[in-house]
Amino acid sequence: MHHDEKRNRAWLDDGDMQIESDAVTELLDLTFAAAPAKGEARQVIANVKQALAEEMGGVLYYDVISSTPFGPIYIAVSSEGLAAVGFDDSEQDFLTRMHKRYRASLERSRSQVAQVAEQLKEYFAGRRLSFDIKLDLNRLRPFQRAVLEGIQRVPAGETVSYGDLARRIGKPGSARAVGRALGSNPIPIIIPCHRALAADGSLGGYSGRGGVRTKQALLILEGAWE
Amino acid sequence: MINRNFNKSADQRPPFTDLLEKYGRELYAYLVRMLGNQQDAEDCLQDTYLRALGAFERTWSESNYRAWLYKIATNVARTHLQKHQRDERAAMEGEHQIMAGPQEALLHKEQVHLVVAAMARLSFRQRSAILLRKYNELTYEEIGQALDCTPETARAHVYQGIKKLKEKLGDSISAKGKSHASR
Repeated sequence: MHHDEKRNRAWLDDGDMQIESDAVTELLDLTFAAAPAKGEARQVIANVKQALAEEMGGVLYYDVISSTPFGPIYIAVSSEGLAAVGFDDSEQDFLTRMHKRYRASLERSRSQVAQVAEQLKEYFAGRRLSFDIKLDLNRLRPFQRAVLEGIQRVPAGETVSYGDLARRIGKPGSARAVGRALGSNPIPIIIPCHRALAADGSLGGYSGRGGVRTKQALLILEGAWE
Repeated sequence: MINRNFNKSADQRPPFTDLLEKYGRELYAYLVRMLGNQQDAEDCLQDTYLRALGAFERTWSESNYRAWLYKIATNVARTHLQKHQRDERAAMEGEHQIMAGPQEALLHKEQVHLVVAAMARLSFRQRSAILLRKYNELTYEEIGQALDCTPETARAHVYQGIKKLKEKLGDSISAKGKSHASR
């Protein structure tokens, strides 16, 4: 065994101590030399790994679709569902943002994001108007979640004003807060924050790449803008 | 699994979970030896890595991750022993799960018990230093880091610990010594 070869090797590097310690060493080895069984250690490490993953915010699988009318779009999926869609300028930017926001481990995986990528491509090609994707909104605050759930009930081809949306979710008078909640929508396009307009029917704002021009393009794609 | 920490200064660091793959097993063995049972060792290993993660994420960098992890594990073990109101001796003298193989353990049950009892008489640092030196093969430099002392003091802990063990184990040693010499 591993330790047998080492047992007699000098581990105290002082000569006189070495002589005296041989017998003690032998007794110590009887008690402590064997390491925990490999299988047992593997299980313990797997458990710790699990605890770490939870502490770090789990694993997010991500990938990028590079050819869209709006440039590269990043996608991140958790075990619960789609967690983020990003217009970030680079993969590094996206990963930094995800790590800060979710403290998650990020693992690139084409297959984990395939369903989302496929539906987005169909949408950009005009072959799909609504998405059938499970979303992970667990990390959001209740108000933002309510706003995002509210805007999801506005179908493609229609729009709503920020004030109307506030009323629809039972928070009349909170149009500004609704605007902010939409502005930090973690899953743009699929949660259609672009369908919320200013009270006068103008486009309002859009925080995705391309700003209001992207917003306008999405609304044209959906037949809600001339 | 890849854990990316994208702090600028942190880009050169290993992914945190690598530190678990690389050192988890030896740290676990150390904690089993220190605490005498597998459940406490597993709990403490988990605490060790959770604490380490916190420090790691505060953009903290370290040249010797192994020694650093041993330091955290040692502190966790000490706190664990204190918190559980069992004084260290009771923990060591109690149901110490024997590391030796089953046959060996049966054959030498008495001796193992003596060793455990004798180890329990040492200070926490002496015990820790001996186990780190002998079974985890840390250098005195690294043991010093783990125990928050100089390498010289770390060496002194080992030597004094061995000396104390020798006193406590006097009789069984002379018996063992003979059988060893006659081989």
